[in-house]
Amino acid sequence: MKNLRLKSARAAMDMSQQELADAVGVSRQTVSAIEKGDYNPTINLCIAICRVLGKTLDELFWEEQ
Amino acid sequence: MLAGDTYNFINLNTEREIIMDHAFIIGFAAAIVAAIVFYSVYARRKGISEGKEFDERQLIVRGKSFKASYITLAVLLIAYLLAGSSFGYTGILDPFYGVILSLLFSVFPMIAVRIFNDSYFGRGDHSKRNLITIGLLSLFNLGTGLYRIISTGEPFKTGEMNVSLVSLVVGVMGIAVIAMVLIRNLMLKKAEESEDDE
Repeated sequence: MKNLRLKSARAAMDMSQQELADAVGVSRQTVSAIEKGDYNPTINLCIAICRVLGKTLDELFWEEQ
Repeated sequence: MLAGDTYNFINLNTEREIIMDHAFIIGFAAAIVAAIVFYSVYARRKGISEGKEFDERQLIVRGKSFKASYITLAVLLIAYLLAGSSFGYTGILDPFYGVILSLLFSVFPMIAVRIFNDSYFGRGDHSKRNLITIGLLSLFNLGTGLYRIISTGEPFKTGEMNVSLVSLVVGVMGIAVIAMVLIRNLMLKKAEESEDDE
């Protein structure tokens, strides 16, 4: 399932996928895979992304059933 | 070991052929072990580790790629055994070719899985440099293999291993790796363009 909240949070910060990837220490393809829903990041990576984007885990990664 | 030379395990008295006796095999194996040990020590001192070069997603993909390689190797070896039992272990089915070609071809799925899941190259942008290196080595192997096979006219000979054939296969595989990387880059570019259009 696509993570559109992550994509919009990144766009709101005017960051490219490469910039976000560099900030959290992963490859650009990994950020792309997370946004497309092709990869579920570990909790550590989720926290790192939240810190960079200034969001909470719920705001970016909680899935409403 | 010179490219194109053949190694005769059966007839130790053949002229103009390098004889691979026990000392050579032991020396060859020792050289491989020494290279592995040297690189391990060097990598530890330089702080080179797969965990630092590849992120968590890439490490998972790389782990899964070994499964593809293992399964391919098992299938190839079984196919080789069945073919050899049916047609005899001669020519291309000679044990030298059967085992070595199986090993070489089994690496291919591992590389393919890594390339098409963006886990072949690490986070450092060395892809162009690596591709150039792979390309040069592939062309060298391709050229060496083709030249010797064409000049001798005998790619397969029972009881002997023609290193030229190995060089040829390595060269072809190198070219295939470059082709896969270029195809993957095209796929990513098209995906980016379609995302921009949305």
